[in-house]
Amino acid sequence: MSRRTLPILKHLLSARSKTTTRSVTYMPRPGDGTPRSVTLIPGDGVGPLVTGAVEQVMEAMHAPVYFEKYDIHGDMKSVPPEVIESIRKNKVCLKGGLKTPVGGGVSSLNMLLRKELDLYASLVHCFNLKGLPTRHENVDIVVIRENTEGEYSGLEHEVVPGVVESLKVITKFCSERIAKYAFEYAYLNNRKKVTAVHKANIMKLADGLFLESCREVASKYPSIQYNEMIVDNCSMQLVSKPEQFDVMVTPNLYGNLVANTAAGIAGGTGVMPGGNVGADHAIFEQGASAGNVGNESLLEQKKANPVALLLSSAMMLRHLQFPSFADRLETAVKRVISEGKYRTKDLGGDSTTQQVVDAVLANLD
Amino acid sequence: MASQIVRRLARSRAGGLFSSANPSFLDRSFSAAASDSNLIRATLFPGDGIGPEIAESVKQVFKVADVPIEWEEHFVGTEIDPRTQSFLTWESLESVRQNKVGLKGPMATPIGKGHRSLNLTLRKELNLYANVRPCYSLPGYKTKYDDVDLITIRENTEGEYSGLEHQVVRGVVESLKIITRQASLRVAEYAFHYAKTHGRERVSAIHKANIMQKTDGLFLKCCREVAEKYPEITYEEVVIDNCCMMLVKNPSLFDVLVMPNLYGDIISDLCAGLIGGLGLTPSCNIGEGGIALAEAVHGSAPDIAGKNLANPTALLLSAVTMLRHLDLHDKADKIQDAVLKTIAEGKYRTGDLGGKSTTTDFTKAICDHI
Repeated sequence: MSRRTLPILKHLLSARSKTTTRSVTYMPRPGDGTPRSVTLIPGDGVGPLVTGAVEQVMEAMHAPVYFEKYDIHGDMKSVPPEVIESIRKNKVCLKGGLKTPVGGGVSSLNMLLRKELDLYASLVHCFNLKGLPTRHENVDIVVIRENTEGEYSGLEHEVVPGVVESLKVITKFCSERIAKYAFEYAYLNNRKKVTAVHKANIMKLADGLFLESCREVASKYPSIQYNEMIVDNCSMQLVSKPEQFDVMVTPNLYGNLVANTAAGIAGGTGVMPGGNVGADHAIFEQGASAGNVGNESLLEQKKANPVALLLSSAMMLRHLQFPSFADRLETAVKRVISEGKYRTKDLGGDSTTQQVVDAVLANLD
Repeated sequence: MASQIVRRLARSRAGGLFSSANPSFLDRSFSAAASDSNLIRATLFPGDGIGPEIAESVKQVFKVADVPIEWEEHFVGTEIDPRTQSFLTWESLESVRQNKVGLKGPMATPIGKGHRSLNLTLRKELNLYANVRPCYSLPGYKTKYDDVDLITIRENTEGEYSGLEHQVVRGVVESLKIITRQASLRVAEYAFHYAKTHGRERVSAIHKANIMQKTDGLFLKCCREVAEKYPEITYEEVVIDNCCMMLVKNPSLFDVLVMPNLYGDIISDLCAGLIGGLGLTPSCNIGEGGIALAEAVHGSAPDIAGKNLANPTALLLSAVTMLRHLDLHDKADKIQDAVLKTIAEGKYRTGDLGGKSTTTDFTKAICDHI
């Protein structure tokens, strides 16, 4: 009798200690297990630190990816052609932050990469993490932001000394494709509502065109709720009632602000994953752009938060169609956060990057 | 007469470097202090919807607090005045120009064509270049943020809201964002002057100059120039996405914020959201020549108009801002304390704060506290 009860007991005890038991089986295509090459750009500031963390975790999981590292810095004039070639070949890239010098004559390398590879959608997923206390509950917002035009066209000139003009360009083509991406994302990920953020009461033609495109696409997805909100009202609502938002689609500038606000209310930009995606290529990086280069004290003490980049690399693994590795990585990271013992400074703790990485490695099963 | 001399001496000493450069012009251009000890005339636009009720509240509170202000009421007309191309009459605008202070309730712009919106008319005709919103957490009204104490100063005339758009070809629209040295200097001067006169220690300029290098770069250059004239005030520059994130994580990091038009719109509404919404936020528009027009930024709420349910807090706190502009600090403090105490006690609260009192009860409670 003891021979039968022992395995039953073992099964019962082991099932209680595991926090997730999956019963889904993914069926890969033959040959999908070969290692994929991914371009890796460590970047500036704390970038090398956090991309190093990702490399360690990928190594430990024996994930079928290998990284081709390229060193670029934010103050370079343009992206070196071999990096662009590599990204075009691999189609996927993982990137740390690139510091854009303020006020200098250099245009942002982040913007250049996006324009060159036509990565027209920038996505940030902001959600409450279990075990991380914030002022707002029930936050689960995805901000989809048009990435190529709008206020960031970079077309400025001085009319006469003391008067400067900057052009904000909105085209139907770009507005339509970002609206389509937002609704497709909502449909494929079982999201119920899409909110368009705009300022069309003041900028009637420009944001009016954006809204028109969104409305046209919305009519093709009758099962998804669609509403529009003015950007100042939207920021007020985000701070008081964030649970009303699901997917948000915005032009370039408002998207930057809304994404950073949403990331801030859900736990900080150090934990939110995101990426830039186009028709052929995808670059994954820390979701919201504030603080992705860090400051000097963070770099010296090696206390940067690797969670955002780790979760973004999980998104990348799903993009490369290795979902079980992505699931394992996400589970391990979420377990480390919910335990709360190893947290970096921006989450209220005192650990270094390496300690958090070690905790994630220990929690990988 | 002696009090005037003492006041002018005190002001010039406090102004220091600033006032010695250009004494009389700038003094007068920023604070239209009482020119005599008699009543100050101020223009009052009660507005639409709940406007008249809350304007009544303000008048009552001011009477009880013995504030030396004589109100000159003006109403929005029912037909378009050809001299101003809107429903606001020329006489109303002239009265504000003469009195140099005003208080405005919520105005609903009637829908139609052929006239400018009322707020736009006021802004353009009176050249209101800075919008000041002090945001502080109201003790006793709990929101998710309890330690907010900041002031947003927003450039109000140019920037992204110039309204200059055109369609280049079908499907391509361009919108112009204009930044001029003159307007940026003006608002930066006001921001630092405000910080100094209200005892604030830090001014932060919010920008996106890493992307919009020339436009926001010019704004920052002007701010830096003005900052050099005020060495005792710390000056810093914060990129707007960083600012948004820091505001929602830890609003106590900021003190005075100065920004161009669009960022100002978004950030000032975000700060209003932090303290409890537009129904509690005071606001004041500063114009050329020392004009100050305080206003309530919430809507006219036509659904509760006339029912004695409106919350007069926003208009009262805006009137307090107006009093501070007039240098009547003791009266301003008295009224502000009374309002805050009434809300903190929690016995008399209007519907939007979660209570059941009427406007008149709330007003009476405030008067009792003075």
